[in-house]
Amino acid sequence: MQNFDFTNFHSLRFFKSTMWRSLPSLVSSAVRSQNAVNTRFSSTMKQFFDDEANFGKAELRPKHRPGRSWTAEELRLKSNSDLHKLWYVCLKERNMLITMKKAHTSRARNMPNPERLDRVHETMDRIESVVHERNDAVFRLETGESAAPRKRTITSFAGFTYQKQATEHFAPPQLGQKEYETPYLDDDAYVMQKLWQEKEFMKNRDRLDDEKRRAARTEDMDRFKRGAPRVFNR
Amino acid sequence: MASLAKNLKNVTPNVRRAVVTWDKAERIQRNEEIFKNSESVVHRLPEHYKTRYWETILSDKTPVHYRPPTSRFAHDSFKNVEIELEENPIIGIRTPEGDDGLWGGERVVKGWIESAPYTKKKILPRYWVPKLFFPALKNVVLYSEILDKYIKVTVTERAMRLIDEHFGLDYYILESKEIDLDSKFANSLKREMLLTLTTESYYEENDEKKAYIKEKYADFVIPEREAEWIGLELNEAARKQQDMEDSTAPEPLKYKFEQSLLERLRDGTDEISQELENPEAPMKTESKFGDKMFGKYLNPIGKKLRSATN
Repeated sequence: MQNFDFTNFHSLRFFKSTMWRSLPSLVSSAVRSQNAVNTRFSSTMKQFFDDEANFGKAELRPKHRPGRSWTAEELRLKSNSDLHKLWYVCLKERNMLITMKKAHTSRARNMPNPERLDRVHETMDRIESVVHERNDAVFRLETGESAAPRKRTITSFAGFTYQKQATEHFAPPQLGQKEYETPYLDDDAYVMQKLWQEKEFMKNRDRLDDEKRRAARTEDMDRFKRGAPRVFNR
Repeated sequence: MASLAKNLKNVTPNVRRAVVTWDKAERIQRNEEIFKNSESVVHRLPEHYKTRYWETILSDKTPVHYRPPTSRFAHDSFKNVEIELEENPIIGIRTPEGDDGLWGGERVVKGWIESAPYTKKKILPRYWVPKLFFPALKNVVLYSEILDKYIKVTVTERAMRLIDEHFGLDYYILESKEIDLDSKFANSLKREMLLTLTTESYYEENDEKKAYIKEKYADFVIPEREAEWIGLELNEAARKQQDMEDSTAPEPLKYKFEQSLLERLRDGTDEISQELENPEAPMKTESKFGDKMFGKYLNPIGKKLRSATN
């Protein structure tokens, strides 16, 4: 497979004109036409695709159905090299699943058990977070800084103060270019903030009011289209 | 009840009502809003700056454009009534030009005048129109003894009079409060003078002059780390603080842990090293509460279970 990359989705357009059941044979024919070498559809190639028994099924057999994803607690017990291996296992699996999903979508079929993809994604996210935790601990111990990119608090022209990720530059900032947190707002920003707070307050007040009125409605009112009982002498 | 000022006679001598003037109330409210936010950068500012800043906020500005009442009550002999006098400060508009000069607390004041006052109303209607009153400014060259420099600045007559009253520019700048100087330039001058006094970087060649300056301004010397924060506005101070935080690298945790371990070893409170040193010491054991009571029945069952699973 010198130049033929199965992860590339463009190779899938060879499938278009054939029936679904003949997928592997089609792939092998594609390989043959590309390389002009009579190679068989080898086991290495098969790793890019799902098991042949699963092709065209509505749902996998119970034995082959996916379990749950790895939890962060389980992953924390593993060594770094184990996590590294698991990451690549997941990466291969994800690649395979995305290939299969694309193939199924192109012929308007449903992929069997698409939740496999979600499980793999969850696992990979968790591996990443666990590795980040370890990285962070080392960074804090050795440099005192977090492994996450540094954040600076800045105030916008309209007076909003928020966290912004610091970015790298070749040179230190020019005079007046650097953004700061400015506690004492100028007149425009101050008025803007006052009006904004007033608006937020009124929105919140209306929301609470709506909630209260909705909670006060009984089933009868919806059913018989009746309003609330009028109490004049409250 | 409006009374003409010329008819008023003080009833009580020199006893004014203690009030928080509107400008002070506004200052307090504005800064209270800022300091209420616990995540704001202002709480990370140095303690001496915060103290000085709040002293400035809570101090009264010297009256410039108005005369405060000298007593609480006055009698109007024309209307034959007693009225209570109020203090309503006239505070002008702050200008960028004022920040560059020494205006001695003067500002641009907005007032209202009658348009066409001497024309017949039949001919031309009269309106109240706004008018800005500008201070009379002049450019002068002032000499600073501490800095040994001649400074060309825009001043008002009031500022010149104040300088004379304080016997020199240096004393005027150093003795006046920041709120009365009322200009960024004057505040930066104050900071520079204080820094020069602290580091004694004046008259390096002339020893006699140096000793003279040192003795003359001995009362104004403050620590250098405080002097460099003098006269900074809140935003400038916040910017300075953030720059300082950005330029200092955080301390690695390993040094902190090392220190704490050393301290624990010195005090003899480190548990692990104690256990290693004397293994005969009383061991910590887990509680056997209930084992005495139900152990007779439960232990054989547990043993059976364990052997079955193994």
